[in-house]
Amino acid sequence: MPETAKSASWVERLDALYEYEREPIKEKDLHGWKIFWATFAGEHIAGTEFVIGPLFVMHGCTAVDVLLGLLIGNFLAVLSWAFVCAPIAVKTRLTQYWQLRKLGGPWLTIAYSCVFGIILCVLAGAMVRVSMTSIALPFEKLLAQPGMELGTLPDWVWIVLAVVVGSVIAVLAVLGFEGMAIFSKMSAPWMVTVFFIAAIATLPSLGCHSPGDFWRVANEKIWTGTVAPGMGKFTIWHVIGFAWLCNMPQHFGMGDMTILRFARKWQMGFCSCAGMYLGHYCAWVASGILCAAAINVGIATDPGPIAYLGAGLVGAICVVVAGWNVASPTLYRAGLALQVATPNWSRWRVTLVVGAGMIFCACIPALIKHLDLMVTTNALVILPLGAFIFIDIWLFPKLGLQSNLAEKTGALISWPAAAAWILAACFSIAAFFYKNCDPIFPIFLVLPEWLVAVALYIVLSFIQQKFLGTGQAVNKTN
Amino acid sequence: MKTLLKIISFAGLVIMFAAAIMVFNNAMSKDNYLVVALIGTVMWFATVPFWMKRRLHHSE
Repeated sequence: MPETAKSASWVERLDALYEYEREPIKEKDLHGWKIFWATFAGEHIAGTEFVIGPLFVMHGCTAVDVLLGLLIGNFLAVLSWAFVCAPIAVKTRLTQYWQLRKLGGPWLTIAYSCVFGIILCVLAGAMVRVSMTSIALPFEKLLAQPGMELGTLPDWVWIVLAVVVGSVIAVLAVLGFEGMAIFSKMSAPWMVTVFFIAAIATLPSLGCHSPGDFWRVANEKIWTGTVAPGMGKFTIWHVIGFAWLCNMPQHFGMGDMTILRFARKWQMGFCSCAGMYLGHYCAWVASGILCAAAINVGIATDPGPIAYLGAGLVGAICVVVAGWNVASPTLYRAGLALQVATPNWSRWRVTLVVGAGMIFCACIPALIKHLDLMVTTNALVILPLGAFIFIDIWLFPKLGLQSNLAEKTGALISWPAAAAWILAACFSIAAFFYKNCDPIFPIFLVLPEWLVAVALYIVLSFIQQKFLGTGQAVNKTN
Repeated sequence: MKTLLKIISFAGLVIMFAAAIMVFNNAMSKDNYLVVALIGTVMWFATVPFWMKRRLHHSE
């Protein structure tokens, strides 16, 4: 196939995948507040919450760091949804994919889809690993030494578990994605309840017998400030930064344009506080309490064991459900994103191949031990594209620059957007190496990278439109 | 009928909360709490499919 025909076919295939959401949402399809409260509350309580709460304990946070840091960080995240993502979603009524295509051209969306597909694949692998920690419990009990609660499984058992659990999730993603999504919606209120009850029922084992004891126990037994071996020290700034950035791809990165384009008013972006304060505050605090209780009795701080400690069989089921609820739709979306790069493959075949990648990732225990680093990396990769959408819509008209230039000129790729994306990523990589690859440093790179990406995009677009005359050519045509 | 099913669903969650609070106040044993949590879970999942809307956001 000639090169141009091949590239055209890739673009057509990618566009076809998102065809049903090409048009801006119509007035009659807009929704009120209720659905956004429910959507955000349901979306941000998942398997990751069982991992992130314990990470704050392991990173040596104090009670003030966690309780105050999460309050501030989540508040910043809510403001980002309300003032950055929601106004653009309401103004354009388009998904992030189509908005990106307008400003960056189809080739940029292909690159974005491939990168995003790989990220989702790794994330799905982490979620499979979360579920595995629960499914492994009966085997760990079988292999427990006398006097020990749980035994250690050999590596090959974990690999077998990854293959079995991952295969089931991959098949579910192919056969019953809609069913899984509905089940996820139905299980969300129950999962919130399990997080709460597990933490409440565990507090007495840490010496907390009344609400008045909580602050003392929080400082002395839960968030003691002691760093676990192999982990870096987190301060309140890390907690604020992490709470703010862990959903960067959704708010600053504009991923939630897909949801918020249905909003009647931009103020509905504030509904994100339901997800932030239920999921990323209460659930993280609850899983931190469970982690401290697990350390107290000397068992592993993995999601399965800590949930079992707090709520028995119900806790173990909750971890499996929480992992599967995320893994299956994530795998489905990864397959969707990567379908563009697979010549004429059907959806099920792509999803199964991506599922194999997910299973490979699930075999890596470090994936959930360093989930914070993975989430940060995800944010750093996707972030510049969201910044371009923001600048293209709000700032370009004020600077006398053309918005959505790639669409107007019919360009296959916007070189200012591509160059700014690559250079901003290079900036972050260089800064990471400059700090001797400190794994907790990237949290502080997110905002600088956003600023670098914005500055580069503006300067390069200015050169393109004012010095090379691309924007003027469009003006004349119009 | 739907209202009754809704009441059963939420009653399941309420008894789970009540049991956890009773454990916190030393008014219930941990073993009994685990059984109540399981009963509450069954109450929720046995009834919720009959009343919760099945619409998904992207198809709306």
